[in-house]
Amino acid sequence: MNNISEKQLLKFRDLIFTNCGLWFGDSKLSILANRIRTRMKESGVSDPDEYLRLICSPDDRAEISTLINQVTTNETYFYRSESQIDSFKNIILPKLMEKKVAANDRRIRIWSAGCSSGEEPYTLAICILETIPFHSIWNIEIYATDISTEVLNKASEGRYSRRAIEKLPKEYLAKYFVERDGFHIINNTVKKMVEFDYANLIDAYYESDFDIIFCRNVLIYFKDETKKDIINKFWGSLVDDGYLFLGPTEMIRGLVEGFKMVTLKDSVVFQKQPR
Amino acid sequence: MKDVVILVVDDSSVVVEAVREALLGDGYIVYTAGDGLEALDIVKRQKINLILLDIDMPRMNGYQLCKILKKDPNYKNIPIVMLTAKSTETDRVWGLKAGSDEYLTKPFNYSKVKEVIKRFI
Repeated sequence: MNNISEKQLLKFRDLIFTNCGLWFGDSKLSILANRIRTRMKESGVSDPDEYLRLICSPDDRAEISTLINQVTTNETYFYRSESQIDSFKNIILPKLMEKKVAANDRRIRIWSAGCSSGEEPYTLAICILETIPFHSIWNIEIYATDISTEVLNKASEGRYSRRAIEKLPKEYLAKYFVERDGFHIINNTVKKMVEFDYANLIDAYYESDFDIIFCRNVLIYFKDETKKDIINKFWGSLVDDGYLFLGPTEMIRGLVEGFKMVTLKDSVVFQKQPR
Repeated sequence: MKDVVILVVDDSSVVVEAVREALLGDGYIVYTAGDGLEALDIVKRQKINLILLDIDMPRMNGYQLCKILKKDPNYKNIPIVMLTAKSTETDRVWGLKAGSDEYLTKPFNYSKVKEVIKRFI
């Protein structure tokens, strides 16, 4: 059932690219095929051609919207890539606070781009609560965006399975969550620190004045040209000397000017430089 | 009906023209914009009574424009009707969370749009 030929798969890939700008390179085609199969099964369609017709229908955009939600959703969890989170908490954040205090500026703005169901921005919020003394005198804004309304709704709900919180230090779990019906619900103090928004990174409108941008394991779904454009826009959205965290294996060398790679304890971050 | 001004925001010129023609036929004053940024500029310069707003647009999207306007005391009372192809339940819920007053999905018939406009004006 649901045998998708290579020709059909390439058609799906082009349709997704046209509709949201995400590009599944040849090495990711099997992931794409699996996600399409899952969605076809859910929607009760077994013939790939019939499903192609369904998502191309100009009268009903719901299915293409649902498929995009499905193919762009990545499973994530709290405290993902621990060394990066520790560097953020123990190195970058104290450094940033020192700089802000010296400038008599109490505003910190962080963007979690491609935030999925909220695990990353809530992790950042928890790190801030743990690191910044008297955080209430600071104006801390964590802006979190994603292209899928499905994950955004989940994120704003703040309700997680045990799997999502497995890597979170136990003391944080007790401090910032309550357990209900087998799920872990994030508390309101953390929840209030994050503002979720629907945004596609290929759009032209980006918010600005961010001290730090996290965009981890997202750019892998874009073509090099789009990637370059997105990183250039990140450059414009960051304050001078602002930081960009990418996925642990993602590099931007050779793609754009204006970032210096800084090695932290067990991870790297890209710092904005003048052009 | 006296000088009711409606702003139609959509990146599809076909949709914009169809809605504009119909609204003009009903005696409304109509402004149009191709994306959220253009719409924001118009809202700041003109008095608008209601906005018909698409979501997926090439520059600022409809959810973002909606949130900006609903947070601003000068514009928060302008009714915003999402008129969009994004028709899943999660899209609708997110639209309402963004602050829209009504959520209609394409394909739409004009009588429904008209009915909703009348409800707000």
